Amino acid sequence: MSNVPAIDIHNLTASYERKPVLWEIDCQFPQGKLIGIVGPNGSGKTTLLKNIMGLMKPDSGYVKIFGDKLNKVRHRVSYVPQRESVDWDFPADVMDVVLMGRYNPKKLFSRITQEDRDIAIEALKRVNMLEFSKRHISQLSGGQQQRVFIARSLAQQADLYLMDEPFVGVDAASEDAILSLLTEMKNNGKTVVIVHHDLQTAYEYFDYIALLNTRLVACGPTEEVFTSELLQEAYGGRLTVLSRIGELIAKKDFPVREKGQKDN
Amino acid sequence: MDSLWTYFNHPNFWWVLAGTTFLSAISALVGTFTYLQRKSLMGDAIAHGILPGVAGGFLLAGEKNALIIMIGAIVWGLLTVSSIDWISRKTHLQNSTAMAVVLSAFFGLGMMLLTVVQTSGLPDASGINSFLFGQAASMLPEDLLVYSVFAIVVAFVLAAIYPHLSIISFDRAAAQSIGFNVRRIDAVLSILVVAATAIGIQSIGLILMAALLITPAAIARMWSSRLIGMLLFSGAIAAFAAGIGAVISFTAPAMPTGPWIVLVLFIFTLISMVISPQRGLLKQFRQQKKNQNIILRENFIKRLYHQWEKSGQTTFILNELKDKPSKRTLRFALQNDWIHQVGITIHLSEKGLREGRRITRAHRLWELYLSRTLRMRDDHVHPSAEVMEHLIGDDLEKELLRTLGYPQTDPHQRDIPYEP
Amino acid sequence: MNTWVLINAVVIALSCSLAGAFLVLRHRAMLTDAISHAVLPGLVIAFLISGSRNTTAMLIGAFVFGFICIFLVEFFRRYVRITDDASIGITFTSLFAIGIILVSRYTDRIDLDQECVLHGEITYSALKRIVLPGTNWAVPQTFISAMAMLIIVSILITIGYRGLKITSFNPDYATSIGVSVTLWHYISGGIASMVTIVSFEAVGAILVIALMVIPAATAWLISKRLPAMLLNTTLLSVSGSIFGYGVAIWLNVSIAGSIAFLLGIQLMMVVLVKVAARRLPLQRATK
Repeated sequence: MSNVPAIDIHNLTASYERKPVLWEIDCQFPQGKLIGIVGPNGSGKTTLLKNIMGLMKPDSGYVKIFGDKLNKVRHRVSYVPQRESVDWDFPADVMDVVLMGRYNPKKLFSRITQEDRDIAIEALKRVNMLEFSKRHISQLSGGQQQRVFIARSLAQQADLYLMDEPFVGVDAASEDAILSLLTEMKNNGKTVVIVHHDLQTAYEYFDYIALLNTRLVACGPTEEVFTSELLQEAYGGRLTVLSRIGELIAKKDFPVREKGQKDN
Repeated sequence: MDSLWTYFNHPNFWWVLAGTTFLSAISALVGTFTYLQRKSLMGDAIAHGILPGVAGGFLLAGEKNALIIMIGAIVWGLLTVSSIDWISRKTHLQNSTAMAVVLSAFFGLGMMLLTVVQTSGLPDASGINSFLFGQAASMLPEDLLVYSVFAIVVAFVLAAIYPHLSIISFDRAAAQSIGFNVRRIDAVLSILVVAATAIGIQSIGLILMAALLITPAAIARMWSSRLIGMLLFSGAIAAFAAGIGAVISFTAPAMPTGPWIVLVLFIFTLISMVISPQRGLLKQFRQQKKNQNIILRENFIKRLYHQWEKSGQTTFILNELKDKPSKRTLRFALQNDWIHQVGITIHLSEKGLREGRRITRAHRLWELYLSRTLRMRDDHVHPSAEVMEHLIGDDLEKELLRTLGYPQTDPHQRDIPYEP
Repeated sequence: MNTWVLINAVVIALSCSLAGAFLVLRHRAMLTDAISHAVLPGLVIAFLISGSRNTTAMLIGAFVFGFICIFLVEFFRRYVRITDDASIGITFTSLFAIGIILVSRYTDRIDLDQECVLHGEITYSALKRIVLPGTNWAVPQTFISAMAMLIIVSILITIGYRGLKITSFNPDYATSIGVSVTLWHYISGGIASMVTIVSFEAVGAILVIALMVIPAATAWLISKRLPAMLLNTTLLSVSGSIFGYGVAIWLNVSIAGSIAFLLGIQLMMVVLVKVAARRLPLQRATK
């Protein structure tokens, strides 16, 4: 494993309706760690994940994954969206969803092979959901649905996993199962990045934490980040200067970078 | 033009003109609230779903009787609303899917009844078509009276629940939390939409009725951000469009009224899109241009200031400047006494120095802010400061100075220049 | 009773309902409403330029306006920030209004009137016939174009099955693995526009919506997996058009209207059965 950071975020600013919700985020996530993106509600955690995955276009800055552009290393990255982001009434059973992990743009028109099926079965076994493989996805509990999403992600056989709030609405048993699976993945050399809102459990779960509140408060090994000073800063509300200049940017429709200005 | 006057002298003309403008304005008022609550397509579903009521009312009355048709329309309108509600409550289908299902199925039933009307041999059978695309000229004063009574009732109900509606339109969750019965207000609004649709169908027709509920509201939103302003605007626009429709309906009887009203509204939409003060493209374009000019001229004076800072130089040869300013930038700087020009040289004035110093100060304060508060690496703070220096005004500067404790140097150890 | 009319109705219903299935799954059912209205001016202008019911010209015209519709909706939404559903509402009513004005203005020059725009002319769809080359079978022109459309739609859905499925179920995930959601959005919209154009003449602007949305929505309620849902969609569209046609002949009313209404009845029955089943305690115990 090389020393290239799994994710390198450089001066990233992102907005909704022209108003910045993430300010100049600049940090690196190392490989082979269990990493938490932690912060209060509305601090831009999901927005950060979406920018990393190219689901949103940032106003400034860029993201490199394994030192490369996302498009070049997409097959090594797996993304688990928020559970609420899909309609669980979609006509599909558990196996259908997990098999989606075997899709890729080049194989979109070829058939699913027996190998794909074996990989999907293996993934379901690892999340203890094999017995439910024929069950319709709407007839699962929240924790089971989350495990199906994680199984789909495992079926992608990636090196970097990005998960958006995988512990929300999940029962205690599922939470334990998911956590031990994540630790096992880390021990196999995978990098796992998790958006997480619960400060209590964050300390136990993660080796490395990015503390966020519209700006990056801290980014580093958990012991270094979990100081009362930094936590208070992250949970102590917004910065007036940032919110005021954010309003000005939105009102005047001002750019965040001058024309031709590159972030180096 | 002579012929136009004969229409104006038509006994029904003024009746119809007054009636359609009034009815359309009332419909548009109701539409404003559905627009604000993002339920615009509900109006489309109701307008289409109402057809069996119209055709059924016609069959029951055996003639084009405004009152009975109106009642039929309202009954079916309510049935449409409750069917949509029922399907989306009892199944996992989304509200919009339920709308498409109900509107098309009911419209199908309406079509069946319509063929019954047409083969019924009833005297006025062809008159039913005026409900589809609207035929303002075919309205009799008695019809107008019936519609107007309903419209007045709608207006009264609207006025009565106005405070509730305005609160719900702005913040639904907050309204719910302070104990508003949101569901009941929703139900009343649905009934109002049904009534608004029913009173509009003869002048605009039920196929295009949705436009009268949606478009004036969307136009009004482009001109006003206040509810009362939106209501006045949407009412006025709807009335005007309906008036034009009524005139066309008299001058060209073969033409249905509805499409013309919708076309007028569409033209208004396009015009507003360009010139409206709230969100017009022209305004957006001007704002961009203005931002660009501010950036250009402030960068120009900032560069001169930097040179002064390095060498104490205040006189420059225009052609030797590294980034030559555009004519517009130069003119602005001259007009504001930032610089004076003597032939090919320019001279930085006291005022120009002050301006350059202000921008440089903003730039360095922002860099320091990013470095200290956001803990950014010192070699990463420059690009952002290049823009924020143009945005930081007096207030924000004071705030920054206070937060940073009137610092002396920026992260790159350059002095933060204060006014001497 | 005319067998060809019934066959035409069934074939049209099949391609509409299959094309509509993915819009329903995407929660974009009301988009069918927009498309079916917006293509009218395209059809009329194509008619005026080509001077006849030239299918190619009409396809081009309708496509152009289909795209104008999608462009305007996007434009209103993004640049003037009109809400999503209002943008749809403004665009399609305006385009439809322009279409109706053209139809009324040039009634004498084109073979379309306000009635036909709403009802379609399925009753006459068996009249104009073409003799198949090499045989002496005279087949209605509508049947040939509808059949061609059904084959095209089936092929597109078979090839694009996985792309349509994954972008419908979980767009963010699809983007994350490099599948373009926008592209597939346009593909599903494009398929829907195509069937709308061919069906427009037969069943009219508004009943196309019934064919596209109702069978798919009904099938969704009774199917566990996507292949089953597509199969049920086709079955329901066939049964709906057969019953609808029967009722129309029996009562001597609009065929297209009757099919739409019967499709609605089918959905209503499924919902009622489901509601009743949920009330039965026995059912709940076994679940």
